[in-house]
Amino acid sequence: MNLSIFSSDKYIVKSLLLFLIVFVAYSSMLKIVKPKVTMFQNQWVKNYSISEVYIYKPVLPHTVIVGSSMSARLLQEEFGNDVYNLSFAGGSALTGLNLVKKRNHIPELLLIETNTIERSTNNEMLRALFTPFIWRLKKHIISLQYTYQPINIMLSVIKRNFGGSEAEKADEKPNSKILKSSLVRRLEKNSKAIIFNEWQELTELKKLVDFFYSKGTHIVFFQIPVHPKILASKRYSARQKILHDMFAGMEVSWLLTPSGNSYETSDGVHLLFKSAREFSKVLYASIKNILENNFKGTIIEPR
Amino acid sequence: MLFNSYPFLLLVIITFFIYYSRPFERHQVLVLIISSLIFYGYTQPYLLILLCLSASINAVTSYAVCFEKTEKRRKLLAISGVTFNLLILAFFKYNRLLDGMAVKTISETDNLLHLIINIPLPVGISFYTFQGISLVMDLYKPAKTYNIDIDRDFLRHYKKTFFFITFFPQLVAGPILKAHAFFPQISRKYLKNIDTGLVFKALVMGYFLKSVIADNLKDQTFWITHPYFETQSSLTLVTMLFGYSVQIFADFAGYSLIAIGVAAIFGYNLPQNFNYPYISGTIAEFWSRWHISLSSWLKEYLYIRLGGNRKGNIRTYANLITVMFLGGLWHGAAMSYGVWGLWHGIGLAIERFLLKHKRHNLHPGTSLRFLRITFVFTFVTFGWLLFKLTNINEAVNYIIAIKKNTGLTNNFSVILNVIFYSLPVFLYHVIYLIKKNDFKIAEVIFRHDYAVYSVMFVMILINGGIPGEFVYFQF
Repeated sequence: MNLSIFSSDKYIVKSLLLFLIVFVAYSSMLKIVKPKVTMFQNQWVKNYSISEVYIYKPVLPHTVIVGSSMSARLLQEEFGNDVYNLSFAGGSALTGLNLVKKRNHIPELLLIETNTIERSTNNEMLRALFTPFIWRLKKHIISLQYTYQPINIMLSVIKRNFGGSEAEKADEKPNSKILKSSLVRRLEKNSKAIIFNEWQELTELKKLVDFFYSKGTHIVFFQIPVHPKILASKRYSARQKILHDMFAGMEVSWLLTPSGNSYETSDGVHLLFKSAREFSKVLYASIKNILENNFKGTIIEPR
Repeated sequence: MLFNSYPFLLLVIITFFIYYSRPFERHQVLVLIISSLIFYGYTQPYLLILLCLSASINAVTSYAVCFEKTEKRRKLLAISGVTFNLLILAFFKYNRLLDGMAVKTISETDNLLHLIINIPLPVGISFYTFQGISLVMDLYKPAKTYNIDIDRDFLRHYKKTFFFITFFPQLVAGPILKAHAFFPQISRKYLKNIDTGLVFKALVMGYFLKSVIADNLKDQTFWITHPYFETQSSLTLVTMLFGYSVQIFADFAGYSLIAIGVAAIFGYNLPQNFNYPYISGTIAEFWSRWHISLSSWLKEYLYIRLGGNRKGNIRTYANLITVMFLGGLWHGAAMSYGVWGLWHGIGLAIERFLLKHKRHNLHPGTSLRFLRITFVFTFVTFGWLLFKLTNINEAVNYIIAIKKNTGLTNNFSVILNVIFYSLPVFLYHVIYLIKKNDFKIAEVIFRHDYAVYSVMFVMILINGGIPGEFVYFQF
């Protein structure tokens, strides 16, 4: 690209000075105002933001939920401050588990979503979040965090003023065309057996669970309700059997999987807003029950 | 090693201090060669074998071509050098074309064939083999017609050639260097001669384009991929496609600018690679502004050698289509790249035919110029679909989805983001037009250019996207 259109004198000094002023002003403004960011430019930036909020928490939660985009739909507001949902769209529980480990956090309770457990760890994200020196710098200069990107703040303001209401979201209905085509695709995928490299991810899961288990964390496995046809698929039942065999000798809890008839999804696997809220409540009730009964409590039966 | 990574920053800083330090002042080229090898072999050291082999054979061939006495032997050596480069490219890059073609007729258990197909593509191979060809072909010309002072001492020539092929700022994605433009620059460099203005502008603009524009847009245009596009509305699909057009420009122009900036730190001038391509009023103009180092390479070493426009109309059209088709295939071992080349080649041929046979308005009015720019931008944008969706069926289905999905809900988040991140690129082109047309507002803007750079610098820090690979790394 031709650069010759910019040609005034002393631009380097002037640019650097103005850069410093704007950067300090923006960073100070964030420190003072601390805007509430509720909307993100895309799901990957949201994943980074979810991670940053967790990493820089002054007091870490006693319970952490790790999972994929299916769990990412669960509503944090239903869990309160002691439970943190570290689930990633496009990711899996493995990334969340590795992140908790890298943060040197041993939670009392770890809830692991198993729907897409064989998806691999996002090592690039982990490396970026824990880049030496930078990650500590980001703690103090919050303008460097993904959460406070100007575009996210702008989108949050737009959402607050022009976004749909809770009632509108609750009325959300699945698009039959999307649901149908998505179901066909997902059923085809779930009709196949678990392949070799997915076994490697399962081995990594075993190591991570063993690690937390040995440190005294109580492990709870759960599944997000999906379309009944998908739940009945070959891959779903095979995965559950493998996991049960893998952790047979350990005192872990298994949350019963709802049939899926009473929960609605947009595409066969991702819960609609209303169903996500209901399932979040069920999950939270189970967490409370387990904790109140010193990890011996029964799990609340889903609908 | 990626330009947008911390190890790269560290490599440049360390190289800079060693390069200009007194003990190494006589070994500057060697310092850059070592840094280049670290840069290239950082994640996949085994790829260094091929790079060194390619550089070495080009050094030997070019030396022989230069100093061989008989014309017949010079020609033979030049042909061997070019053939060697093309064979390397064919073996490592186009082995994938065997997949799904010849392979179907051969037994699944043919281990050798499967091994060949699965050899990973060495990063930057398309770029450094083209540079090798450029060196051999330049030196094959009569000595008076090229401006290269070739050393009689083979070792010195070898070192210079090795440096020309491996110089790290341009090694993996260009700009493609021509031997006659780079060799004369190889000399002792001094700190005081660094063009700090160029370095500053190129790096700030380059990182802004890559990190703020391209890396953010890539996460919006992700949904162009199959099967996600099937559930997006027509408006969202069109917006994403235009967003991809901006993304690929920002990604590649950003890379080229960073390369230019880093090379300038070490006292070397790399050629300009982009010149406001999206203000082009014709497809031919677009190709004089987009990936200039490749298009000028193809023109100089292929189009002109095929006869260019000197052998009649039909031959000219055929040459245009052939060159663009091969240029398309240069990008990758998938038929979609060939089709993309044909899309542009046929476009160029039709445009040339129309401009020749209709009265061409050399000075179109503003509205006509705007219409032409819009047409060319749209033409180019739809062509990029074949870059994003390398399966031609998927690309066709994308176009069908644009027509069919009018009833689906628009994804306003994607639309808003694409507009937001495309705006700076469009403004940049508009500012160029303002300056070109001598509008008074241009003066005000240029007086305050430092503000533009400072804002870009801030945005790199506070609104950079999640770092992704450069699109052209795959080529």
